[in-house]
Amino acid sequence: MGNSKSVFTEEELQDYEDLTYLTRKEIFLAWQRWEELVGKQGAPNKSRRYPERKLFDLPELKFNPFKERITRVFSSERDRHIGFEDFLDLLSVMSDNAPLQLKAFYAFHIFDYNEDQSLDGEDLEIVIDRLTGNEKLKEEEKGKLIQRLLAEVDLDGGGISQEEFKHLLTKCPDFINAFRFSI
Amino acid sequence: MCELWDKKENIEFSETLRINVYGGRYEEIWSLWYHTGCLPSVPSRDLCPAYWEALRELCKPLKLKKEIRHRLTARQTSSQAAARTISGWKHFKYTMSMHWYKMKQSVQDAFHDYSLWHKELKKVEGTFGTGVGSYFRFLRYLFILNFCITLLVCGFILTPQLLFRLSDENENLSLSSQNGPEEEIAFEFAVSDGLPYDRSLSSLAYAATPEKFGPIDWLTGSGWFVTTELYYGTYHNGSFSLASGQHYNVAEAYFFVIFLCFIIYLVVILHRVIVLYKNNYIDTVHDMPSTYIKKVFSSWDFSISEKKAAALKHKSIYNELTELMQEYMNDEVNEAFCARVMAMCIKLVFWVIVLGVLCVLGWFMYILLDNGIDENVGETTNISDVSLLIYPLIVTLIMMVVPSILEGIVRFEGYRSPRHILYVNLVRTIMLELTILGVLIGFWYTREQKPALPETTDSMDVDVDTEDSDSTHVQERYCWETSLGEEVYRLLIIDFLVSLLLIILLLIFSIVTRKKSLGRAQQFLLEFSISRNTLHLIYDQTLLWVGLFFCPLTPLIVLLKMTITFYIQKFMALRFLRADERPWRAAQTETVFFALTLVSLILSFLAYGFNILRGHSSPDCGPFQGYKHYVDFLWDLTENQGTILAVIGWILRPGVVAGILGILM
Repeated sequence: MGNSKSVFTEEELQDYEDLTYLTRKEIFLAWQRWEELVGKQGAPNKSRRYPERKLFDLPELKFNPFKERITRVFSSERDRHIGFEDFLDLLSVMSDNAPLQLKAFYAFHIFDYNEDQSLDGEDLEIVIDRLTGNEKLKEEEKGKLIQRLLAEVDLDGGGISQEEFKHLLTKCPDFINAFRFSI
Repeated sequence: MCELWDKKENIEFSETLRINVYGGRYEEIWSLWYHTGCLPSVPSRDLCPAYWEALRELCKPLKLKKEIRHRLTARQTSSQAAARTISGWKHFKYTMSMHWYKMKQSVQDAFHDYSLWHKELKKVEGTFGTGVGSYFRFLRYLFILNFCITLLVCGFILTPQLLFRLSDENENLSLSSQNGPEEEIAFEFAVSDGLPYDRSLSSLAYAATPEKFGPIDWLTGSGWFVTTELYYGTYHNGSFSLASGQHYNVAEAYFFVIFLCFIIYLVVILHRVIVLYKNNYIDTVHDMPSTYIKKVFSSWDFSISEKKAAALKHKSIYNELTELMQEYMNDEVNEAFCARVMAMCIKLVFWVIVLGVLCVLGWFMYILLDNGIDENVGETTNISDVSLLIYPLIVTLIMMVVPSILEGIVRFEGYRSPRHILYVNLVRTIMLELTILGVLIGFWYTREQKPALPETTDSMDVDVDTEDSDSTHVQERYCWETSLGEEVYRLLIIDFLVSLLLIILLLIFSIVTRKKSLGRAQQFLLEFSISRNTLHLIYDQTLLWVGLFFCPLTPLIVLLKMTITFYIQKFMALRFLRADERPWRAAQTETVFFALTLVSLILSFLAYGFNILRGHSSPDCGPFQGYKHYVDFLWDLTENQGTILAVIGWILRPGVVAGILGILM
């Protein structure tokens, strides 16, 4: 860890500590993992961006069925590349201390496959397929499930909006437990 | 294309800012933002901690947050801003709250950052998910709590007592050559009321009964251990002088430190329960049935990082969804009123049966304890015998076997949801545990409540039995607290050994059947049952609380036990066991576990309170010897120091209690 200490200036560390839900130790750990992922460089360059695929090697994301959406959503420049600060963002949202509304916001965008700002039948179908892995539900069962989901939540038709999603997750405390990992 | 930089959200952000940061001057600043899109710089002394929180919670990339922060804290040089100065008081207030906030953050970070077992936990969670992870986290939490308490106890009770013994033994070596110690002691023991003993004699009393240390003493905790600091009986009942004329009163220290330990436990666990409850409470009354949503969106556990575990999770989600849809597709039959009443009756019958079984068990335990005592020669606790192990063995076997039976029965009772089954199981197992421990304490308590006469009669009987002179009479002192402490020690040790044995058997079993296909019984055994293991932890912790007063080193024993349990469970889980294929609702069950722990703690605390008020202290051993009731000690103490009473009275005022609870939350 001695090396990592020289990578960040005190000001940067303060920034990271105050603006994310990570502790100082976790930030150093994150840097270590980041270096392992992208390969050690001669001089540490925090602003360099790497293609999304690099992040897929992270053990926590490797077997995650939503990994492509995760890297897409957390890429701040929308350029399918991930920088170190995006990585920190991801860890911060996934940490224990992040509040529900933050997690709900990002989860909504992760599940929104067609990126139309609402979770409609199309998105739900893809989500369910990803969740069940290699075995797929029968078509009619899937259809009924989607229908049921939309009926339960969607009050005004046109898919589940951001607000509705946030609202229904407040009734789902298990979500916070499920939607997290630590570095 | 998904746009996270919508103007709408920018406005939302400024709304947050205006409320938290700018106080009353928001109108002008808000319009400035809206029209130009840039924020004016604000002198840093205007900012308060709410600002940090608002910024952190913002759903924006880190880069943007940094930019905003820098703009907000940039130094102001224009005269316009200089005119907007705030009063010295406000500045002071903000600075103070800033420092307080930072301090709280760093303390929280230090606590949450515990790297104790961090890697191991991560591995287990990655393989099994958050359900099993929550068991290990619970274990770690209790471990750290117990560790702090052990330090407290060792530092303030054990060490002074050891110092006292050392210094005293040196003194009395010179004394003993002069008087005949046995006669003096025999004389002293005739008195049993009121007067505190002269310290040199009581310590001599212990020096007069050196016991040989036999190998079986490790199991029974009797014999040589009785004369050590392991139990209540050995502790000195007065004060002694440390260097330079300072006096350290062992009895007072004993009382207050144990009291303090309980208060710490109470506060910490209560705090945790409140936090968990706040986070996990759902309003089920006004809730629409949102099971489908939950099953879809919170089913994937994002902490899974192993291939096998991921495959397992996929399978379990698939199973659950198909089950759900099949249930939905078959029409739900509206149950007739009769059927519902019938179902209720069945459940009631089962509950009555279970309660009946518990009562029978309790009565059986009582008989066992009673017989166990009479079989021993006299009531001495100095004889270390294998027969002492019968009671702990039976209790441990009951605690291992009966919960599994209960789990089996519950499936026939017709509960609808798995969660109800889980809760019913938990409640019944806790009731079982409390019955057993309650009988244990109640037995010893009622025993020593008998009037003084039978005690002396018994020892006289023993006298007759042994046909010996006064010297052996001296060795048989009835110290009920030590006996109770010994029982707790035995329970802990035997429980530990039996679970080790079971684990070894399980290991052999799983090695033998590795390649073969899994039958139902095998599946049941090789599953990592979270509820069973957590209940076992709660049982250990309750034993700790019961034994704390009577055997001050119980936290140390439980600490060692927990460490070994952690490593063994981790090893077993990762190598041999499989996770439960059915999904586990971690959040609410965690709350329930902590709540159950709290209930056990409160009950032990009340039992202690009752004991202190009404219990008879042993006349000849321990720090409170010579007082009829424990509470007399407290009155004696506060007689001389009216201030203590005043302080206690002040602390217990409702305002102060509410204030403390408010800070905690």
